[in-house]
Formats: sequence, C-alpha cells, structure tokens
Amino acid sequence: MNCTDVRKYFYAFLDSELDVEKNIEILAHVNMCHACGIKIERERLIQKRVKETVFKVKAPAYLEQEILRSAERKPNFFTQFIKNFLLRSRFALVSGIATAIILIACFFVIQGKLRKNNILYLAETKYHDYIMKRLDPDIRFQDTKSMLGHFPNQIGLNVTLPGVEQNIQLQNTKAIVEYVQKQTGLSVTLPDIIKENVKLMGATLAKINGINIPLVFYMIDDTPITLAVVCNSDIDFTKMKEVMAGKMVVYKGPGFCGACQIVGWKEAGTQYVMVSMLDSEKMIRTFL
Amino acid sequence: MDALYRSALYLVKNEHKADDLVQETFLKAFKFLKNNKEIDNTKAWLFKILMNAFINQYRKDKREPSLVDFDNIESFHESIKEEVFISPIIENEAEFDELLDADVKKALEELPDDFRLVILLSTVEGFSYKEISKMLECPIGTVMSRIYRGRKLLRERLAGYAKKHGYERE
Ligand SMILES: [Zn+2]
Ligand SMILES: [Zn+2]
Repeated sequence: MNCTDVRKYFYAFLDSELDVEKNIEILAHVNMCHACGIKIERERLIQKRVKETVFKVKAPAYLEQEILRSAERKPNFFTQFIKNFLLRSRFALVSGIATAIILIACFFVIQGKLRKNNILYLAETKYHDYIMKRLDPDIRFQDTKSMLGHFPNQIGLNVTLPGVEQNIQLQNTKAIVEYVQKQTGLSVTLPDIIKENVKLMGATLAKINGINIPLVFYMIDDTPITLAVVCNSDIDFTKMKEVMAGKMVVYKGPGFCGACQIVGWKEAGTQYVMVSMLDSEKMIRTFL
Repeated sequence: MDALYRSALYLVKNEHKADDLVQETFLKAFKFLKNNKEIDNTKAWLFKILMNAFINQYRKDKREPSLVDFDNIESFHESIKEEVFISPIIENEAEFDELLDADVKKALEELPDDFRLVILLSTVEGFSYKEISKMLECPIGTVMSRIYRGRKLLRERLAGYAKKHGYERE
C-alpha cells in the first residue's frame, strides 16, 4: 500500500469501515509514513472537535414533559396481559411476580442507578424489550407512590416497598442479607457470584401479595437482571420448562412481555425467580 | 433524547424548531409502536424518523433540495479519488485544537443540509455507513460520497478559521 491507496481508504479507515486486512495494511503504511500519519491524526482531531462541540448540546428539560403530555394514551398492555395469561394460568404468581419485578427494576434502575432521563434511557439502552420498544408512557413513573398505585390496577398484585431509598444503596451481598434479615426476620441466601462481568447493583424489599420478597439487582455486562428471593412460599413452577443445571432442577419460561425470560428454582425451602432480557441459559450459567 | 435533540438543533439551527422536530419524532415513534412490535436498533430507528421529518419539512420549505446530484455516481471511488482525497494544501498548517466551539458550530451550520446531515450521523453519532444508508434510503456510495465531501468542506472551513486565529495571535 502506498500513499495514494491510503488516501483512497482514508475516511473508511477513520470510520472503522475497512476489513481487517485493509486495516492492517494501512496501519503498516502509516507506521512507516510520517506524512500519512499526520494527516490521519489531524483528521481524527477535527472529527473529535466536531463531535465534542455537538455533544455539548443538551435537550431542554421541559421537552420530555411536553412530549409525554402530547403523546396520546394507549390501551394498556397489562390489561391484555391479565386477560390472556395471568388469570387463566397456575403460573400466575410467578408471572405476576415477574411483572412486578420488571416494573420495580425499571423504577430503580432508571431512578436510582443510571440516572438517565427516561426517554433517553428508552431510546439509547436495551434494558427491557417491551418497555424499550413500546416506549409506553404508562410505565414511566415519576415517584414510588404512583408506581405502587399502579400494581393493583394493572397486574392485580398488591405491592408495597418499604424504605426504598436507602436499601437500594446496599452493594455487597453480606449487607443485603443482613438488611433483609433485620427487616423481615427471613434468612436469605444469595448466590455467591464472583465473576468479572457480574456486578451487584443493589437490593430492595417488596411485599407482593402479602409475601415479603427481597429483590436483588445485578448487571451482567450491560444487561440488568433481577433476582427475587421468595422465602417460605410455594410458587408453582410446573407450567415452566424443566431443565437440569448440574444436579439442580431449574424451571425456565418466557417473561410476561415475550422479550424477557424467567428462570426459577428451589433451594432449601426458598424459591428464586430471576427475570432478565438475557437468555435463560446465560442466566443459569452465571448464577447456578 | 439528547442525541436526537443535538442533531435536530444542528439541522434546523433554531431551538424552537428543534423542539418541534424532536417532538414530532417521538410522536411518530409512539404512533408506530402502537401497531408494530419489532424494531432492531432503536437509536437508528429514532434517527431515521428524525431525519425523515427534517427532510420532509425542509423539502417542503425550499421546494427543491439544494443537492448537487451525485446520487447517480456509478464508479464512486474513481470519481472521488481526485476530488475529495487530495486534501487542500495548507501552508503554515494551523493548529486545529485552537478552534473555538463557535468556529466548529459555524462551519457545520454553513454546510449544505445533506452534508451536515450525514456528518451528524457519522462523525457525531457514530452510525456505520450501512446504517446511514438504510436510514436515508440511499446507496452506500452516496452516503460515503456525502460524508467525504462534507468533511472536506468542513476541514477547509476549519483550516481557514484556525489560520485566522493564528494570525490574530501574532
Ligand atoms: Zn503515506
Ligand atoms: Zn419482559
């Protein structure tokens, strides 16, 4: 490759649009040719300056409100969900809990952790397929109270969340276990995962239909995953698909929206329900 | 949201119009989502709506697109080899890092709409040529040619500004 060739592929190279081979050829040339190197660096600098400048623009705060206000309200997804699925199935409590988890997780992940404004979040990340793709204004709660008010109406579950602000901060397994023990008298065990791509985000306590359910939020790479620890309960997993993970029986099934997946298992009298956009196999691999 | 807004603002160059454009984008998005399920790449999809809204409006306003017609260029590489890649010879190469935001903004805003649009999509938002070509529904060669020409223009302008600052300092 000579200087003319480099010119030919100049921008494609800068934009990482070249195949590996061409890329290497260019890099090899640039290593030897000062003139081309400078040219590329200079162009890179210009692109960087342009990007920086445009990135300084931020959307005005009132705009999101305005958009939400003018968006027409849609027939609610959950109404349909109840009709089609929740009421007819013995799987009800699992999927009900899964739904609650999704809503709670969205609330916390958006409000407590990522601190992105909701629409930005919806547009730019891939947290939850349904919520992401449908951009449903109904699910974007601004405060705990309105979120909790939503549950009985929409999914038929009665949910309470005590002390949400502090307990989401807990970021180590031991502290979470202690917190749950203190608040509820439940002895909870959490899977001990020491993997580089798994991060413990926090936890909260939810009461779903009278059952105390600690919810623990993790991130696997960039995907949130929520683990519900259901103590002293007998949720019926039998509608789900049974698979073996090591010596353990694990149940898996589709989430309430068709995009997320649920994995459930029982261990020493405690039931665990995991909900995420992740493939159930990956959840099982990571947590069990 | 910020991403859509910043592109909108640079496209229409007016805060009020940018508000309208972003709002229109989201309303269209909501409407679409009501009836359809699958969107692979949400960011690209929202940008596509934004760009279409912009193009429609701007074509409405101006009747005729300002574009020189190079959508028909067949042998793309041949045609741009000489024109685009021969960078302007800048004597006493000025320092680009001395450029002010205002310079960059001005240079960008002075670009023809079609060039500015692809630069916002490529340089700023980092979409691939393929994504942009799908978004604008035009051949990849056209996208590349616009990106390259746009950047060339931009670089010439910026070099001018940088040089000016250099003189002013001396
Ligand atoms: Zn060279
Ligand atoms: Zn889901």
